[in-house]
Amino acid sequence: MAAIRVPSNATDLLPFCQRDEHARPDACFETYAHMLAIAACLGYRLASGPASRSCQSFLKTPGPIDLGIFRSQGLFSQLLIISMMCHPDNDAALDEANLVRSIEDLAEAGLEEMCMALTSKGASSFPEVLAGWIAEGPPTGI
Amino acid sequence: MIFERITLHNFQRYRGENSIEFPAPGKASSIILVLAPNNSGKTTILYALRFLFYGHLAGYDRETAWNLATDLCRSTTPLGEDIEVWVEARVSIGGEPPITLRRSLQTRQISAGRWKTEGPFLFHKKTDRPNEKFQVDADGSLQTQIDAAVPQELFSWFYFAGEPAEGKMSHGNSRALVEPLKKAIQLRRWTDAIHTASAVHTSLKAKLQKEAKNHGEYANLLNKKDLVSRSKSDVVSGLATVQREIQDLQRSYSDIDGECLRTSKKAEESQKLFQRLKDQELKRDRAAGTLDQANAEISSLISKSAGMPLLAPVLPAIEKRLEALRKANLLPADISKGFIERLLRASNCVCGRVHDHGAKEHLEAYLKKTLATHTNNDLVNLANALEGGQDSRVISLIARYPGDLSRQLGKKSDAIRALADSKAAIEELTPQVKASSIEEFNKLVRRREEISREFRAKEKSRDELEGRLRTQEDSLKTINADLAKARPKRGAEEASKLENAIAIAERLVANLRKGQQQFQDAVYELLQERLRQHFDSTVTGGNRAKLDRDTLLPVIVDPADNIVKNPGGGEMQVLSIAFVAGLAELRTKINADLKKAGLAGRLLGEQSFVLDSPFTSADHNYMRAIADFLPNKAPQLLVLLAKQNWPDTVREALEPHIASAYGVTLHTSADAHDASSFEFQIGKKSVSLRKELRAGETAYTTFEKIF
Repeated sequence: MAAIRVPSNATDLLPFCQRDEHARPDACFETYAHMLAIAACLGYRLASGPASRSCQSFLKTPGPIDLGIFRSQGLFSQLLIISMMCHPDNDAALDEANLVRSIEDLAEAGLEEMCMALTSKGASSFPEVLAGWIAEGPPTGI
Repeated sequence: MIFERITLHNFQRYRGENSIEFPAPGKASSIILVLAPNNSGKTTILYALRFLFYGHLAGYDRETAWNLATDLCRSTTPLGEDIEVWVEARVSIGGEPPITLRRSLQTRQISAGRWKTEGPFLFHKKTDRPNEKFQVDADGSLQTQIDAAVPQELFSWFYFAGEPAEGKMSHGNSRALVEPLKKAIQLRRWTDAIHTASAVHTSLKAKLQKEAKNHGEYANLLNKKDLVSRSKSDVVSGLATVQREIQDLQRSYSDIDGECLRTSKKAEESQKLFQRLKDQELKRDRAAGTLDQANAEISSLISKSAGMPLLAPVLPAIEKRLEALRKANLLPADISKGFIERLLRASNCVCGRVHDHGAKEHLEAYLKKTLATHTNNDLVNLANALEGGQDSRVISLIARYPGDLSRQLGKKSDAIRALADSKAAIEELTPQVKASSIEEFNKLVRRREEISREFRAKEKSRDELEGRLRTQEDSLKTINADLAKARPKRGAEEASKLENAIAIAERLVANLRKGQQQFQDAVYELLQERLRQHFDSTVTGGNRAKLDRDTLLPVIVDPADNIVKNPGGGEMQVLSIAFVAGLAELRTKINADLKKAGLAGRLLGEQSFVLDSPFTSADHNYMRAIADFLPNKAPQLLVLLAKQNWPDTVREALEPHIASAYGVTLHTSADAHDASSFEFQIGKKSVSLRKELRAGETAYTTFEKIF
């Protein structure tokens, strides 16, 4: 079954995953899959379509996350919506390889934005910034 | 030592005769002021007094004593001609009628750079009349009298530059002062008497033991008695110590209790301040709790939203795509892709009808649009998630979480503001509370409890010692009875006499010890009272003066009775002066009491003071406090001040008490870099203490009466 890899730029955000070995007390992603789903949603919202560039570098740990995990954690709807928005043709949109590719690229874009917030606002303010984006939309986008 | 006059003649910087006249003691104006520019010879007056009293000065010996003569005399007196250097005083020693004392030396230059000096010698005469001749102190009796009145080691206690006792009291060197102090108050005499009586007691005991050596039982009883007596003596001494400690604790308790009462009134106001601080601390803790809660909630909501709210804008487009699939009968798929493929492979339809060309075309077109089973399921799930309006899972995610997150963000922002407000208030209130008396009050109460505990412990020790003493007294009674029976028949009378003599010697030692302690206690009480009277009324801020019972030296304690090691301003200066003033008064009292008891004559008398720059280590406020404190602290006070110690505040405080004032005038040809440093204000006039000499003339100093 197809799996989604974790882009390399997620490194600094891993402690915000509750399952991470070095999880912070204010970790705001339940699992790595949640982090990727949220990052992909943010990436799509910022790009308003497919990512402008293709993700080339991925982390070995954590390893690729099977699509079945996204399904079981109730995160697949987001991925499907994004893929359908990136591919006007249904066959292309519903092809798992295409879906994985689109999500990885957009997740990288979303993670990049998150890392910038992390650097500029500081780790302790990161959840608040992300919450603001989710509640009111990111500073740029559609 | 009370002066009528001090005269310096060709002594160090002073050319010719220079006199300071003192008013009779007892007058309201008791201060003689000497104003002097810096480095003009102010401290020379102290050297002159030391020279007069003891005939020597540090740094001068027989070879270099010619240096005591004024430069001007030495440079103008022809070779071989005598220069007379002397210091003279009309003085009353130990309350006796005044006499004139003179310490003088003659020096002459015998060849270039070589001088021959005779003296110094001490002379005296009864009157101050010029026609009465001086008598030399041939038998040294006058010198003994001076030494008794002002022992050399106590000179700097009464005649000092800066602080008394060379500042040792304020620099942690107090222990070195204990012996001179004991000497000053005649405490040493008690120790000497105890040593003598103890020696007699020991020798009598040795004699009796020798007598008893051949009588075993009697000798044993004597040894036993000696052991019990010594042990009893230790218990008596321990009991006296505990009783004194109890007395001191009672005093400390009473002091602190008074402080508690004083502070409790202020503490009521402080209590309100303290409550406000507590309220703010509660607000701070609540805000911090709310903040933690909001942060946890925000983290949880982010995860639960799973980013879906970010996709809200695209949902209508997705719904359109799903609707199109439904219309094409592809969603949900009624017929699966595999079934159509099987139909196409078969020649007949499931109903039996043969597949014609049209039917095959329809089936092939449908096959192209059919979806894989799992993809179909995903889309069906998505469609289900979007269906149902507000109740649908996706819509509820989108509708609920942004609002919840906004609320939590608002809550967090309010908590941060409340936290900042309470922290600012706490920061403002904390120093106020600390400065307020509540802390001081609590500290005092704690200290009072400590003292109370110590007091109970000491009472217990006292009871134990009293019990031991009773047992020892009973034991001695029994031993004495046994001794009477065991006394050998031969030489019984002699042994009995010796036993009585030993008992008398023992009582003498015990009484002397008791007397010494009572004397020391009386001295302690008097000195303590005077010290506190002088110090506590001068110093602001609650610190008090206290006397160490063993050393009889002063310390400063805070309101909770803790020793203050480095008091600020000029408290140590006030303490030192208060202590020596109290000591001088005490010496006079001891002298009067001894005289009354017919025990001594001219031991100690009223004491004059010479204070050179007494404000040196005091800040501006304490300069004024010390100046206010000085008048009437001694029957005679000579105060020597440089310009920097003569600000208007000091002048205002001292002027009403000044009997007369002298200026130390510098005669010099050197350029006056700052003419104003020679200008002194006294009364309503300004005087210059500098006189111009012609170029090349040797500088010297004189006294001028200026007030």
